[in-house]
Amino acid sequence: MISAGVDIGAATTKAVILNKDASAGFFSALLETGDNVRSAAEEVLERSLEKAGISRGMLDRVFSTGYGRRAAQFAHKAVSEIICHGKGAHFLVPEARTIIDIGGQDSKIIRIDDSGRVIDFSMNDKCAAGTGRFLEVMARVLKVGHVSNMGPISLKSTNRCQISSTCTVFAESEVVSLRAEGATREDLIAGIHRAIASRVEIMGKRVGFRPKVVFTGGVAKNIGARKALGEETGMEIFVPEEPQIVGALGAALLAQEQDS
Amino acid sequence: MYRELLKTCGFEAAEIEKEGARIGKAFEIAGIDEEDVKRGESRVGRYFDVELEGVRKILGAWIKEFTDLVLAKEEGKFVVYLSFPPVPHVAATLAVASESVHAGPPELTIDTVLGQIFGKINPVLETAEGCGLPPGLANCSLLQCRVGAIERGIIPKPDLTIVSGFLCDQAPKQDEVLLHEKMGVSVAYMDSCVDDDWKKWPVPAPRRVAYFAREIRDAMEKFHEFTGVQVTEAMVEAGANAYGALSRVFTEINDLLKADPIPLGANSFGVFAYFMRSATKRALLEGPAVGDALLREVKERVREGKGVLEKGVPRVMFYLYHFTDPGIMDMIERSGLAVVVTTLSGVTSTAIKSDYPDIYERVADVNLRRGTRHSDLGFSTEWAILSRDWNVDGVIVGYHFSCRGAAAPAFMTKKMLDQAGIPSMLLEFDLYDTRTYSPETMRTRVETFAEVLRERRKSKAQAERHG
Repeated sequence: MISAGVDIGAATTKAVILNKDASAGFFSALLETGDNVRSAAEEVLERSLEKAGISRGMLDRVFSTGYGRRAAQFAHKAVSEIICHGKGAHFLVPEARTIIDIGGQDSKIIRIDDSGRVIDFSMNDKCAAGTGRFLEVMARVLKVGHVSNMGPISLKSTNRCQISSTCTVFAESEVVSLRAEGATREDLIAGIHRAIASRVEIMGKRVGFRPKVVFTGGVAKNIGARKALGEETGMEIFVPEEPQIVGALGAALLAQEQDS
Repeated sequence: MYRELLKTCGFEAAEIEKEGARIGKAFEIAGIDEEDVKRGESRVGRYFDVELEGVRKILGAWIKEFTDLVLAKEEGKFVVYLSFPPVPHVAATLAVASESVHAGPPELTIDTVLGQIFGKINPVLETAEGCGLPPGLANCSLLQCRVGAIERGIIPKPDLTIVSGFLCDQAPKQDEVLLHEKMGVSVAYMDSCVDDDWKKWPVPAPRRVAYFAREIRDAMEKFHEFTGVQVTEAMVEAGANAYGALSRVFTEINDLLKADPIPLGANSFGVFAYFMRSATKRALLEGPAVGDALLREVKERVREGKGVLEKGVPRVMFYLYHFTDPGIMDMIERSGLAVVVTTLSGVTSTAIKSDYPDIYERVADVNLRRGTRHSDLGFSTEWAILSRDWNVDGVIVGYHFSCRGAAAPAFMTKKMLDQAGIPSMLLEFDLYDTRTYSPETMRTRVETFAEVLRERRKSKAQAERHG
């Protein structure tokens, strides 16, 4: 049994190919979603198949997830990304009970049980503040190049700024104004990370943080955001090696289960 | 251009001949064009169970009600608007008091026809935003709806509004400032505040009953002053009886939703429930017959074991649902959740008996026993009890963030459900506004919740099997 999971997110599209013996490892691919969701899904699946060294015909079952999950016409089933993140995180970290997923356009706190089943969740889908998009906008405003540069820069902060706006557009004005007042990029970025962490912490209060806390999604790669989340929640934050593919992995695992 | 739509909404050919010109005129005043009619046809077919004659007839009755409302002044009627949620006995009393009066909460009609059927309510809300009701600041879309529709000339400026602030203290302010001061409309306040002792729910304090009864009497007196129609106790009794007849049909259909598989979709039941709650003249006249038609059909489905969803799917309550967008309910049902209880179902005043000797006090007592008018705790407790009585698998709590009356109780209800171990999920929106959420992100929440409830059902069944 060979399954695939394809996670079509707002920013990136990911695919995972999984053999029946999932513990033996998996193959994954990732690319930017761009404006053609359908072709992104096709392409990422092809790339992951290439890595696995198999053809599309060898796939027994494909599940899709993410905002564009309905666009993947080749998928046998579309599953919500919350369910998939729960499954994927549990596979990678069996002790995981809380997942913080910060993706391109939303953020979620997911509580799972000891079998990886979702028991409660909380989601910010109202605005871009507290999402990867927020960080991208701030990276552009502060001219730090790629968003991935923000983490290491923020660790050099000595006097973190307070960003009070909860809206991406207003936060942009606030950052520009603080910059004009002489705030350093390091302190501003640390403040931005803390603003995101604070929003996540408020959202998480409803479902409650239980250890082990696993951080997934593209923003999990940002060491500054991870540090801020740990400080804000008072919890140890665990980040898997490839936090972006957790949803796709969960979809592939669910596809395996469906068959059994 | 609207002939097909009317046929889908249960109009017979002769009825189209008879009512067509009036309906056409009302649609023209409301700015309903060909594109809107096409959209309406598509929405009606997609979101409502038009296979059932009862549902078709209810939608048709709403179109007639809309026509009555839009043309009321032109047709020489004295127009009275009541607040939403209405005190149905008062609306029903005015409906039976005189043939020359059009009375009711206009928001329900605008929402059903312009919102649910045509998907064209936003221009009305946008107009209200330019008239002193900006979004947020507790100016909910329900309040915007009335002002925007008057300002756009869709519905007539009323001769009198009877406003109550039981649930929403913003409604009397709106009617006073915008309708009275700006538009010169006379206002009668049938008011009270929700200050009953929480511990005594559902029994209201006698002082509140006496006060509310006096307020209803005063409002009826004001109605007399304006129309020359003296409201008698016999009229109040007749109104209550007419409303009671409609409520009984409603309750019977409501009880049938306990069947598994669920025999009727929530959007279709919702338009009937809404029709009943409006308690307008047309609702009292046509409601029992269309309700009976629906009841017969639903009974038949239950007998045949036919449902709108598979047997055994999780059953949920959708507390404070989105009134205007039937797409949300449709999405929930398509994700495999049977919506058995909503804001408009479950609790009916017919089930409540009052021992007060005075007819006005009886009306006051019956209405104040509704959680929304008793106290915030009553509001929440009523729904928490319903979720238990209907043995639902979970509850979707609509968080109407611009509604002063409902926003805080939504959280109180959620807390009660958490304590009772009933899974619940918040969906945020404003009750008549379709601009404040993204359906796709909402879908992620709904599908996840559906999956969580399915898993819980499975685990429960497994545990039961293993003793």
